[in-house]
Amino acid sequence: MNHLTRFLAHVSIVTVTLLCQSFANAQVPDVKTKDTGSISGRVTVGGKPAPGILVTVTTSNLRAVAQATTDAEGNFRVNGLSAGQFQIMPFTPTYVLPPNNPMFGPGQTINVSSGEAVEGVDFKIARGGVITGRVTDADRRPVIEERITLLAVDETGAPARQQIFASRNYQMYQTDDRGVYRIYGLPAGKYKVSAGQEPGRMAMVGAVTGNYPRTYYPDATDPAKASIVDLSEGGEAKNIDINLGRRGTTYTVKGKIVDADTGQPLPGVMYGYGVLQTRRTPQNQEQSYVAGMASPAIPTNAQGEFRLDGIEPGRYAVFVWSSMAPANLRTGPDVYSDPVPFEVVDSDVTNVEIKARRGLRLSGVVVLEGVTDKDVLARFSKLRVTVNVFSGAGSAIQMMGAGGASAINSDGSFQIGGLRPGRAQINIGAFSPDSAGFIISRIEHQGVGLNREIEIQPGQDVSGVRVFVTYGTGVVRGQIKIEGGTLPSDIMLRVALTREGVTSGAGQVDSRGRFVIQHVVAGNYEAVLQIISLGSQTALPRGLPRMQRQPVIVADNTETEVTFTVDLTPKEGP
Amino acid sequence: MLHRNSHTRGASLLAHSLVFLSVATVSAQQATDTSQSKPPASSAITGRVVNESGQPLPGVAVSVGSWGASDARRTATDNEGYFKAEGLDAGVYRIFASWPSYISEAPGSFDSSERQPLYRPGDSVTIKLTKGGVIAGTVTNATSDAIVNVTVRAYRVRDAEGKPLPTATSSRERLTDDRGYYRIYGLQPGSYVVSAGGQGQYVSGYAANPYGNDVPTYAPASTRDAAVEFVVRSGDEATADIRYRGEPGHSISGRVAGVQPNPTYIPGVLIVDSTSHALIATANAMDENRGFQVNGVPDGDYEIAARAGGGPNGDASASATKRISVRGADVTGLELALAPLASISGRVHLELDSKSSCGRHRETALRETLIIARRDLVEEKAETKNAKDKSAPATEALPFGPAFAEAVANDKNEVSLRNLSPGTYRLETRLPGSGWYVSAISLVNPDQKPPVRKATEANIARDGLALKSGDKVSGLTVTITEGAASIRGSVSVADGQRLPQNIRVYLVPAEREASENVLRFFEVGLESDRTFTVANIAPGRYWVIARPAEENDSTRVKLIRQNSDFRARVLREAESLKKEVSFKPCERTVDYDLQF
Repeated sequence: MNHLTRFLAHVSIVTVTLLCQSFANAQVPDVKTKDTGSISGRVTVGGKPAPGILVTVTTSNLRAVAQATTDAEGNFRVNGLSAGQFQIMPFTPTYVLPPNNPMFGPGQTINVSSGEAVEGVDFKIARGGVITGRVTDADRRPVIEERITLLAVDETGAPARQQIFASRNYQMYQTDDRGVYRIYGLPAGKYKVSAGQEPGRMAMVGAVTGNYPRTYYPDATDPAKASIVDLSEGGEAKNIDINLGRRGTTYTVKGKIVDADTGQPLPGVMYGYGVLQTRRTPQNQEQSYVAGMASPAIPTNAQGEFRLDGIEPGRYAVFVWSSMAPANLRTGPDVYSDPVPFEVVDSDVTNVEIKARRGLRLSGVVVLEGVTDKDVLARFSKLRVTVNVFSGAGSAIQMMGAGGASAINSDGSFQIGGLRPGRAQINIGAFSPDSAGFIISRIEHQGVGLNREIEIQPGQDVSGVRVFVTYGTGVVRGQIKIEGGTLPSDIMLRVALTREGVTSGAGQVDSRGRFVIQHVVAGNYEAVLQIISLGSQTALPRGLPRMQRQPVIVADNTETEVTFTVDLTPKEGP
Repeated sequence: MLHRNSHTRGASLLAHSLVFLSVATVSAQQATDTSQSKPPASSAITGRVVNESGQPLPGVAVSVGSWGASDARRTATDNEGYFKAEGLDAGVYRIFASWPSYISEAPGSFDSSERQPLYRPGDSVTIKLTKGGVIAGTVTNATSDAIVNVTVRAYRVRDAEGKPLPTATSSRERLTDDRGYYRIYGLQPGSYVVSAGGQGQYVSGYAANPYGNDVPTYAPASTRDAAVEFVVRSGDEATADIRYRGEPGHSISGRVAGVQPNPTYIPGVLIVDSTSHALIATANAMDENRGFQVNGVPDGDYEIAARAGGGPNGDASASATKRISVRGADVTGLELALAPLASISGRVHLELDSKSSCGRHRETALRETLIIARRDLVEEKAETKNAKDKSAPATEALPFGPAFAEAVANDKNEVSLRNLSPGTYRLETRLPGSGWYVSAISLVNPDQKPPVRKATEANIARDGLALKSGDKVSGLTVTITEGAASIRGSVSVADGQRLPQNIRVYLVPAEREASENVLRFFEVGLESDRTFTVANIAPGRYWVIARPAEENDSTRVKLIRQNSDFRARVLREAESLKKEVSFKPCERTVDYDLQF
């Protein structure tokens, strides 16, 4: 990827984050209170103070908020924090943070109350190690800008449970113009080092040159035959050279998109494709589904023809993707199609025919209830209604919700076209933090209340949908007390608010057992604590309930406190 | 795995302002206007990619894009270095070949006088890629500790001949490793300055950057004015170590205001150094107030503007460029008001002539005619404006955003040039073949009350079209006519005399009544063997003259169609020399000896 593509990938993470529905319930720092909170602690290396280390504080979305540097004793203090949830970590690219609960990401997650001085946030860091080497091809020429993948393994060579290597330097995972890579800041341990890609694993566009098959140091395509690199703390493993074979051949897939009824070719239609995979349903049946979607973003030509270049051998499905183009730029017909499977073996694939049907419309009105505040009304006008359609359980190939979005007109009406039949899930969201606090309280269609889902029948538009939105100003703040032991590092705690079976808000529990759920609409809820085990092994006592519930009453502009207690005392025998 | 459209929202401004150093342009073996291509029955463009020794290069990504570049066909060279882009509709295409760490023989900059070759289906082309230059080095502090994970970038300030560039272009940014070592490869030959630290170009405020508040340190250990230039040649490696100073800079902050055509686009802000025109920082205005902040700015003079939206099909809006100075203090409270960009739309007319035999590609002529609106980079009135007036619209080129827009007419002969920043635009064409000429460029205003002055017809060809924010000019009419003439010759000089450098050949109309018709003025530079070729000439009588070119400044040649004083002077000189040439439709004059 060139540098622009890489930046676009970085921006896309941000854009996708903003598009995510979860933003409606995100923990956004409350800017109205005074910013007098602080976090202090100590950074040590091998028990000794680590001076001059930068400690950074970011929001959950990795937006930089504040930073401080450790003094000669390794102490730091970050001031000027508003109330909210933050991530704090030492910025030490050549050191390693201790492995911790993956739910917190690197560093620690702290929920700071207004004006609170949080103390004792300590970090024990270790010196990071280096793995470096050179990648060449079958002709001994350097392979440039090839990505290196590290797999942490245990003594037997099997993948280790934790695979996260926090890094601020994505470039170091790529070979340079000499084919050389140098990855630093790695935790001590055993690794299998590889380059290349399994063919047919990802739907890619633009990578027409074909990937090298995944090859492990020094030249093994079978991971079982890979040499294990043993890295000591702060050590350097040199000459970890990988010899790749030859690039795989890629092929072209061509076909047409036609009207399902008339058979006429359709020009100007956007399409995409994805990898075909299978999984087992709860009914123990095999269900095919499309994993990942990519598109060359080129519409069909005047003859309705499409083509995909650079496709590796594998099984895929191609489909119409009208919503690929923004609504105001769509020139082709608003259509959808079922995914059409195809397989690439050792030659081009031609004559793939996609039958497209007229996209269905979902329209209605959004009603904002109980709001008079002008600021809130202004933010409401920026919201968008988004629809994700999930194909029914009986479909031959399931596809990720392909849907659409619509702005809300000044009279509250909205309309989304180009939808396929299936279960349509309706949400509201926006491209900015503006959406925080708005919640769909109920949806009605033809007098019937729905749980945010509407069934779209083939060939039938849906109109008159009423989406009722409210704005929450209540806050639920709480604490989870752990008694009789410490919580294992592979356990995740999650608190949600539910009402009539619908989740109205969720909060992440931080390193101190605290959580905050903001923008809750007034009402009676149940706070539900879930104890989720992330690994296969767990040291929780036998018979420990994995879920706890408590009634909670939330009022406007008020904070309600909730406390859960998790008793880890080992229970006596049977 | 990318969903392309969702990315254009946030990053399209970069697509405009970045120079794609890793993407190569093509130096063709054939000039496109002498059509040796097959009839349009073929729908493929084929070719081969080789290195400087002529050896084939396999696995090179080749992109064949039509003028809008929104539907570029991507393919790759096979084991013998051959590529083929098939199924192309009639039209004109650009070809880009890219391979990491390699560069192409760039035919020139984006200067208006240098043109990227255009191809049509049926063409075959050889592309040469050479290994780019490398700048590498180590960044350490005063006590020789490595500076880890700091961004380093190289700015190209001179071309391969040592000529200063009007705009310093930046390489992509690279990060130092745990030893402070960095490596920037794939560089065009030329002279570079290298700097480390500062906010970096692609920061959106989403990652902690401990060097983000620092003024960048230039190799070896200084600010920009004392920076050492490093000469880089293709395939060579230069070493540029940096002793990092880490002095705090100041910040520039404010907000983006104004209307966006599509509120989902995230506005971006670009800051350019006034002297070098190098892009020094970008920022996204992501929060709900559309606020932005750029840190680590050294004292100096800058130009700043905001932009939102864009891309081949989207509507963009941009703010006027503000001039700001950082002098020992932060600059705050800037307000950059977005305003919609202008557009020009109209029609292209084809005048066919059954008697002419030289206008080829008749069936596809419309699709192969490229209409270009190019913004004047130097305004003749600029010198009289008060340069200290910060609120005045920039009299210099907006360094961000392209200075031109191009379009091909659709099936209904309609053409539309969009997202034009304020300024004066000249209309140019790239014609389907040497047998066509532009006979008229005018603005037909359907609302104009009679009598319509004849003079208005020649106006925009001569004076350009002045556009303000949000102007939507319609009624552009470009007429291209079959039956152009051409001339090929060489310039000779009397015995014992030397031919000066930078001689250009000018053709000016001999008919008195045509002296204001800029479409009858032609010019071309000399090849290294003193030959010249002028094609697409409107039939008629001309004076021809070879004389030295004149320059607007050290980097730009005065163009006869754009500069009325210059044009009048050349006309007088050519008239007094009385070297007349007359062209009938389709007449090809060869071996013309022009005495200097």
